[in-house]
Amino acid sequence: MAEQKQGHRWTMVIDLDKCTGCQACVVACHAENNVPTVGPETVSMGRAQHWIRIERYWEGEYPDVRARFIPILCQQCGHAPCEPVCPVFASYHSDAENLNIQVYNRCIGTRYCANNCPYVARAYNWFDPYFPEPLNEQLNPDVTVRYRGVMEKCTFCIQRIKRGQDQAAAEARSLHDGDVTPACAQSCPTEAIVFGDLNDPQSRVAELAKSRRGFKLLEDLGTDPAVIYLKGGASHAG
Amino acid sequence: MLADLPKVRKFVWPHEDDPKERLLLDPIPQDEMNSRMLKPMLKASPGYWLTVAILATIVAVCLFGYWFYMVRWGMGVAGIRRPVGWGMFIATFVFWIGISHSGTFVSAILRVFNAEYRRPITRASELMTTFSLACAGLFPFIHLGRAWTVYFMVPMPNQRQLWTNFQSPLAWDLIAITTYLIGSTLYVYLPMIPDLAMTRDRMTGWRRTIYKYLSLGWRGLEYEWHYLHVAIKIFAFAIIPVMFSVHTIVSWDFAMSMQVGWHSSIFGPYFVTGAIFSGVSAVISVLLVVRKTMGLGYFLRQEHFDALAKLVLVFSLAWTYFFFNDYLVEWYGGGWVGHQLLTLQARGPVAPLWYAMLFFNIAVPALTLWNKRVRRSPIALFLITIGINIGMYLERYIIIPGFLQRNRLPFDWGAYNPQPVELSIAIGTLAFFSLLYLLASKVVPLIPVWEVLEGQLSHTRRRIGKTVVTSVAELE
Amino acid sequence: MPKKMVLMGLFTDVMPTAEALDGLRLLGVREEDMNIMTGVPHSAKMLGRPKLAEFPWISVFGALTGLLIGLALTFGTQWLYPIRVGGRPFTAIPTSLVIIYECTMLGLLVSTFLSFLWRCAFPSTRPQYYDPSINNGRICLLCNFDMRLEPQIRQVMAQHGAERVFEPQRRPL
Repeated sequence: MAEQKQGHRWTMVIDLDKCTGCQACVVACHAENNVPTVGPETVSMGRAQHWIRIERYWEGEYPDVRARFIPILCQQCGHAPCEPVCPVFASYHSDAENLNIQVYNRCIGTRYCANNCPYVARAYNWFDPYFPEPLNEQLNPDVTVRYRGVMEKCTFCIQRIKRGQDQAAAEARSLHDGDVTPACAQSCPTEAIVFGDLNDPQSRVAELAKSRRGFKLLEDLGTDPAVIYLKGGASHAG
Repeated sequence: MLADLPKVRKFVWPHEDDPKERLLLDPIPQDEMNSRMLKPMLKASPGYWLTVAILATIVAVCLFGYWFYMVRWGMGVAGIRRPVGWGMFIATFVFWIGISHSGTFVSAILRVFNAEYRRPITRASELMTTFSLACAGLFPFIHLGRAWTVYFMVPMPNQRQLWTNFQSPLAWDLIAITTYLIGSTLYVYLPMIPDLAMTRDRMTGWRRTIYKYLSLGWRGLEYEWHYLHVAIKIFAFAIIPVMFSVHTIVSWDFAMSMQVGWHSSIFGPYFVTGAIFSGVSAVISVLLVVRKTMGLGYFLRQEHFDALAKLVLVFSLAWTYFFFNDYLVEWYGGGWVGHQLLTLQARGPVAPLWYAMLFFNIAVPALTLWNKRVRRSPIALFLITIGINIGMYLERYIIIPGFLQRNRLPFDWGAYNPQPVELSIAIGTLAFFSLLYLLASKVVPLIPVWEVLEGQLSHTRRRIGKTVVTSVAELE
Repeated sequence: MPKKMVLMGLFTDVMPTAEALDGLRLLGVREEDMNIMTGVPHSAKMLGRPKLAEFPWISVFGALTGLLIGLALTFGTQWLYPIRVGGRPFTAIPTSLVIIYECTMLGLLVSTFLSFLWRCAFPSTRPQYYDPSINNGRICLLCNFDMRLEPQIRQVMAQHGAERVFEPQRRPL
């Protein structure tokens, strides 16, 4: 098995000029990662359980009202503020994959990581998850179902990353661009979400990352996020 | 013509206090003093037992009952939500840590500064420290989503070779609070040993056996007194920096984060000052009740409450200084999210709480405690100090769940509404504290009689010129 | 070996006790054979006794032990089983100082308490020489001496105003 000389730098590029705010990525993430649907009352209490959410802001006065969308998910920060504050190392950094790892069976539920995330990217299991029929038959066997009291967040579909790596190893080759696609990128109808390894100079993300339209969310905080947003011209979808 | 000059009003010096009003100038035979301390310990009125029963019920239902309910069903029964991850539980936790600074301030700092009025109040306040730490120590269990895995936080070798993340302020909390709890328990126990020996000598039967073991075989030999003094002195000096560090570390749970309004370098001293403020006020509240219900009026006199009330005024001013520092800096140079927080406090849903906090913490002490008559009135002092603790609880409530309601992404702002579980558990810990204190008051002599005697030995009256003054000898 | 016996004298004030001690010294009783028990602490200077002063070595060693434990927890565990958090180095001095400081203080406090117990030989449940009247303002002078000196010892104590002089029994406290 060929070892890469340096580890992977998994990066996601989201083109806000293409995003229509359709929420397909949200639904796909629920389906892939066994994220429970919590119901309208719980959401109105502020306990929405989404790993990726579409934030919508209204701008302007009638008749020039515009909606602006931005899908926000865990930014997999290089200097993640959620990691040092966890007392039990349930949230730590993988140097090889450059990902922020959440270990469900180590989490004791202090919620410090969620308080410290400037992107409010983390979701907490306030109760035991409930999957109404027939959703309980649709659970992904590659992903744990989390118990109450445990913190969770977007993992860049690490189970798909691992499967891609296993596949490549079985075929005695290194990973190619496109081998690994998270659920949100897979389901986006406008291909606004692109995923890949920034360390691979041939990958689409490496190309898009050089774009002049690129910015990172709350970049001045020094969190070094792995998600790059592209925003240039105006469009109806903001 | 001299008679035509306007009469000058003669200035009268305030008359000197009656020396008999002062405990350390009012000695009584040692036997009599011991009896006065032991009498309330030996008899328990029906009112006492009724109070114990009520408190025990409240603890069982409000604290443990609701807690197990929350463990069974999940943290969702509380009011916390995204983005307010910490609510009333953590506010109450910080409140109890604040109260814990009561005892150490009185028994350590006042001892180090040779403030003689601390003599009768050290043990009663140090017990408050121990019990409030016991209450505070419950909250790291209570607010966990998976309380049964709390032992993951304890650094011990395990099969998975996982240790605690010592870069996390919560890990610092664990070590600091454990150190302070052990330290203050030993510090309340050490000076208690001679009094436990005195109690042993006057008891019979099963009570005598308990005190025999608790007093470790103390006989009052010179070397025993000497080593006791050395140990107490080391403890007094050492526990002061521990006390400062504990509340600083608890404040760092907030200051270390990136949350706007929390990430402030002033939180360390701000919280420590607030803790001493609320702690000394709590000492006054508790001692007023103790004096009344246990008939300890000989030991706890106006002079003690007067002195403590002056301290409360000083710390109110100090707290105001730190509060204004924090406020003005955010007002002047804070970002737009910081300004959202200030608006939230002044005009938002937490505004009534904010104004109440300013009233109880700043206005009331400043307007009342300068006045000697107020300081010598038990009712007034009791109401003022209870008000101060309400104000300090509100301060923690505003900072902890209050500030979390705003962050850098307006889509993710949210309101925090506390639920019955949280209120119930907070009241349950108050009942737990009171219950522990009530039970301890029957087991442990609350007044350190030997320290009072030592003080009476060192105080005399002597004549300087035309007046007679109190003179304090340095005995060591 | 001359047979030894123990006498206990109960005094009501410090000065007579100190003078009685002087008298006993003149009779040749050694310092370590005389003991004073009081209900209120009286310093060695007040009683005219040699001062007990020693450097609290045990407390210092306790603090050092605490320091080492703090170092082991912060630097040791991350050196042995490193886990990366926050893009920071595995060990950081500022954060480690907090734990090291707390462990040092805990070591200091616990060792001070244990050294107190050890020096006083606590806890002790053996029968001891003791009189509970020290809780009532009495000062107890306990003297261990050669039997032949008994009449002189009794005379010195009575001369300095001892309320009672008697041969005590070891009693369980």
